[in-house]
Amino acid sequence: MDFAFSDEHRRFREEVREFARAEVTAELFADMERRESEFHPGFHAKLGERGWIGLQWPREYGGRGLDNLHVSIFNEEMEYRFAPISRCRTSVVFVGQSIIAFGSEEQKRYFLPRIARGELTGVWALTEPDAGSDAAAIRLRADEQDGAWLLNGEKIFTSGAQDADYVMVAARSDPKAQSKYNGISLFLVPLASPGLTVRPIKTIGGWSVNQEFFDNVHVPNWLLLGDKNKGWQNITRYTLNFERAGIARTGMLLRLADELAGIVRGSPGAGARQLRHQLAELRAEIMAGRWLGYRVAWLYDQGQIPTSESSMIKVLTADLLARIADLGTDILGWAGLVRGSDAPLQGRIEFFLRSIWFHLVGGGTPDIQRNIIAQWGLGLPREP
Amino acid sequence: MNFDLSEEQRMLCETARKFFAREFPLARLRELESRGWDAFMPVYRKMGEIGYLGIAVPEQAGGSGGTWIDLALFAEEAGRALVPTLQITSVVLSGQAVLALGNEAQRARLPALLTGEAVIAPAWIEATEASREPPAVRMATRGEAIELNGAKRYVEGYAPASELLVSARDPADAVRFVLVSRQAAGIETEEVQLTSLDRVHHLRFAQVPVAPDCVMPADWNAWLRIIDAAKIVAAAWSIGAARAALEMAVAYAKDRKQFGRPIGSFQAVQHRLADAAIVLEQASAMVRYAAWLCSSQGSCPREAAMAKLVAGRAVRLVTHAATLTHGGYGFMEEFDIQLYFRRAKQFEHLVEGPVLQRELIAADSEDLLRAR
Repeated sequence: MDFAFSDEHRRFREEVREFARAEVTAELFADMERRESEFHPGFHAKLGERGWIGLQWPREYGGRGLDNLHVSIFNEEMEYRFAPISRCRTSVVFVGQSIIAFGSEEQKRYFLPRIARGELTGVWALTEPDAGSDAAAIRLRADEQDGAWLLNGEKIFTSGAQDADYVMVAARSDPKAQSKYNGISLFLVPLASPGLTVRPIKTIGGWSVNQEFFDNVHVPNWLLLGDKNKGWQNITRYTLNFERAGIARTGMLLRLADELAGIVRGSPGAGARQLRHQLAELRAEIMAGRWLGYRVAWLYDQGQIPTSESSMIKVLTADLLARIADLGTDILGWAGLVRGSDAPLQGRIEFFLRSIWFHLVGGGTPDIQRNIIAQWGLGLPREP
Repeated sequence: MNFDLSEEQRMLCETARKFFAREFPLARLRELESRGWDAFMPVYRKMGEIGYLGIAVPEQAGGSGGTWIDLALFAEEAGRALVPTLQITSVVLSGQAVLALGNEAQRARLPALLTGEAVIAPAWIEATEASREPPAVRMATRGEAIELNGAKRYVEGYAPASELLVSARDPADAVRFVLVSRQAAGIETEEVQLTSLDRVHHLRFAQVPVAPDCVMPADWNAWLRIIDAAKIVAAAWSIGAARAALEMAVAYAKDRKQFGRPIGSFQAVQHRLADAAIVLEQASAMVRYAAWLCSSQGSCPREAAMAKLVAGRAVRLVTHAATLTHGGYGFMEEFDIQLYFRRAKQFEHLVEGPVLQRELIAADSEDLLRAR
């Protein structure tokens, strides 16, 4: 057992830290506010220049061939500065890694270099109005016609569809299949496709998500991703696990914990005196969660698929983020409720207090994650 | 980075688990609860014979060698079996203190501690639990003679001990550790029994004579490093206990049927146990990290406090969830899960309690995100 980072990991951390220190600026955040998007094209382009889009991809596809610990370090250092990396992740993990795992040679040649250079971004659409936690109940239809596909239906709660280039869509291609898990196919659909309308839905958490309406959207056959009707199997076997392989949220947790500790230390007030022990406990829990996160990333690097532990990390880090935002508000008082970058901690506490739902619900509700832990991890019987 | 156990560590865990299953099944624990230490001491001496008591004690000092990680892994197995924590008090605290602070003659006690033939009970708590305040027990000199005055409380492992390790302030106000025979004149004792049915002792020292060669030099920082390491071992003990309790609850939830199906198929039960599994894995990661830090750096005060705090929280929450899953059977004496529940808070307070851990963490001013 050895918890030491290698020299290579340490050097990489320094490199990312220096970059984040220089590039993640107040102007960057102001610019995102102006553009009303969680995505910043200029920043994303710089990630591409550095060769940091596709760290975990094989070199032959324009990636760096690095392990998930590198990805975890990258996420942690970037999140410690609250850098806008969500689009980098959706492009690399959902779209890119899915293409690598089960895409065609043509798709690999077209998409991967463009994603790696930062020229093309992608997002992922699974949820529908009537298919949330029961994700395999999707109804968006894909009908094969003259060697191409026609998509009809809708998706909802898609992050980033407002300014991404492609959306990876799960659609029902065989409505006659016996089980809802069969007969699903995946498609890479240009967001500029005729018949595809994107409606932004404002969240309480700052950024919008989207609803997409597909009205006879024509998708050429070469954009069918993976085997026809095997979409669900590919999602569960590959895509959802890629999502979980690198640690997420711990960078933000560490940062908020460090910032709040500084505030509490410098404050002579009764509130700070009272809350310093709660904060201490949360700091311990965050540190513990961090190492569980690294363990999970490492397990993926060993070729294992720790499904239950991945769900644990998801539930745990989202819960910790909710708790530290809540405690942070108590530490800051009314100032913790003030919106905007002039508020204490540039308004981060206030922001997480209302945007926590992206973390709690996005990627699967805590309820569903607990089902996974109980059934896959503890081996408890499924509900009949 | 490598989160796997080495082949030797895997062997250690496997053989320790088998050893405790054979030598200290829960039936033996129940015997200990009714009969006292006699039911455990033969097992303790076997632990010594095999070399378990000597883990993390250097071979040149008569130990088995190995790192704090090895000891933490072994402690998880001992905790799983609810083995009494005599090793923590007599070896990890007293033995390590004698090793770190003692002179050659004092260190000669170590071999008997490591075979389990001798037990030294550390007596350092003076208030309701351990604190980092200098002790109020005083060492006074009366001519050539040295004597102890004052009181210690909640002394664990007193009954099987031959000696006590007492923290005291010398006439120059330096903190010393003094080895005192349990039979020494002037020690008045009061026995109290805990939730676990363990018996601990309050001691009152009135002009207790101390031999000059039983006084160890003052090194408060060395003692704090020993406390930190002992906390990690106690945390690992808690993790093992919590893991066993969770496994017991999962097995029960699969087996027990209500409304015509296993209660483990109900989401309410699944989610409670899933939450228990999360706090357990979270704490386990922290404890192993702290054990590694302790091995590689020799000292990790903040992470030791964090490990102790989250492990205490985990064993408390997990045993609660596990007991609740058993419904009415959970608190019936004849069922085993209550054995775990009744020890959870004691694990949380072992060595140093949660209140002090929060204070230690709050007093630390270094950022969580460091380069290493």
